[in-house]
Amino acid sequence: MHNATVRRNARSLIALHRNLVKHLCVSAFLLAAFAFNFSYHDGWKDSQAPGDEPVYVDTA
Amino acid sequence: MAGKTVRRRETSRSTSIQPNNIWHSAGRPDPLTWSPGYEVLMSPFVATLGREQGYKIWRFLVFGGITLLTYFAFIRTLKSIWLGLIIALYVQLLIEPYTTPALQSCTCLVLLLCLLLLSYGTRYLGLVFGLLLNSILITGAITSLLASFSILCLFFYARRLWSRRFVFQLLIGVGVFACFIIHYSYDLSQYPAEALRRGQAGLYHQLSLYIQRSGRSVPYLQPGEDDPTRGVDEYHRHLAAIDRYYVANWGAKEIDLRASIHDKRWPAFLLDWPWMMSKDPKLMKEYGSEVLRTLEDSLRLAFQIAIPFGKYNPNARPSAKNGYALIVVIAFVIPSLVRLIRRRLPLSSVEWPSRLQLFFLLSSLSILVPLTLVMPLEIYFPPLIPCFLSICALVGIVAIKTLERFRSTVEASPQAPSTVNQNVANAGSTRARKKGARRRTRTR
Repeated sequence: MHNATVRRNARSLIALHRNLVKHLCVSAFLLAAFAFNFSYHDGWKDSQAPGDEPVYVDTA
Repeated sequence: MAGKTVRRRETSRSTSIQPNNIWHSAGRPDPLTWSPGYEVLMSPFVATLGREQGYKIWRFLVFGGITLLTYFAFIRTLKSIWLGLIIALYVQLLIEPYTTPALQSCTCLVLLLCLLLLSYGTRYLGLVFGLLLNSILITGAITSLLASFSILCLFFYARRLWSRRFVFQLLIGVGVFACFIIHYSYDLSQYPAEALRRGQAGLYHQLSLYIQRSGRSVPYLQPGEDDPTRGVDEYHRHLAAIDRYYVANWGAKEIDLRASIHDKRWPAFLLDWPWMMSKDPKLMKEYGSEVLRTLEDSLRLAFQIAIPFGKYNPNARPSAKNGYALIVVIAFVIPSLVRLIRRRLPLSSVEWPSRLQLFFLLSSLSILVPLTLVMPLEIYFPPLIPCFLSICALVGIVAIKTLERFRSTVEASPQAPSTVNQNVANAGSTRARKKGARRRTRTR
């Protein structure tokens, strides 16, 4: 009975670890793709604050 | 760049904010502008990294957060990593967040967080309400969402709203909100009046722009006022003439008109539209048509995409845009197509969004009401991105479910190739068994 519980816990831990690794890899890929898109849309250039944003930045 | 080809209208008086546009309250040394919560969130970045660098990092984190939250919210909702990944990549290609103020994207981020929390059912419902309450300090547009979502929850989840967990979670949100209000000495009783004044200011500003664009201010110009050498744009050159138009047709200057509600018989959220209709019906009818035209344009412009390679002009090639949307739908169903071809794989576990999430998404559409009363410009549309992505996901789910139903039908039919294959396999195994038996007999 005890062994069965240990085995079940170990299996769920392995599944959790697998999911964690999977989500971390996908998140890293998404962030890398986003960094590329952000620079494509001039995100790293100066004066990219549209509308009222300069006022908010000044107040902040 | 593709983002810069998008048609834009003048949306505000940019840096020259009028004193009555400011969130003012007694006892606060630095008056906050309309979104104090947003400024408080942004201030650590600007304070430590400087004006330009701090703002860039803030923008990067907000937009990157949208990508990650889209991924996690949709994999939790639809129970499919593939759909979450495709939708997260799709949201990166939307031009809207890059060309609009990060304030609107920050609102989108909050709504995605709420969607993620709602994927756990009613477990974190109190936190969602607390979050929405605090988001009023980021943008007033959340108020309509909060009101409509509360009404829906009261009708359909009334028992959950009285649970201990819900009350505890809501109290956390109320506590944070109260701390903010006390720290900035903000008089909360002033909020409805302030919100009304903001709406009035926006509406009168857009009306003034329309008066100038439609040429109504030209007869009221005085000699030398429209001189391009004055160094200001056309709108600012016409401001005095616009005021004269208001005095002649509406009886007072713009600043006096927007200071109060003139017809108190109607609800205040209508921003005096009925009174305006009675005062200047021709202008208001034209303006109403302009609002509807803008709404249509904004819906089209807000959710277009720009791929980060090749020469892509989103305004010039509507057929190409349809092609890209088709690619997204095809991408959604690729795993199901593979499953259809290789029938031994199990059916996908894609699920529909829950009723609570659908209520939340429906409520988020109520943001359009105040926008439509003023001017639904595309820069205010990022809060509708979760709703748009959900519609895309629903189209994908319909396609996946249709494919799987087709597969089930094929497998269930007597002449199905799979059954034939199964029979062939069974026959093969029977033959093998017979051969083995014969071999065994021979060896004996």
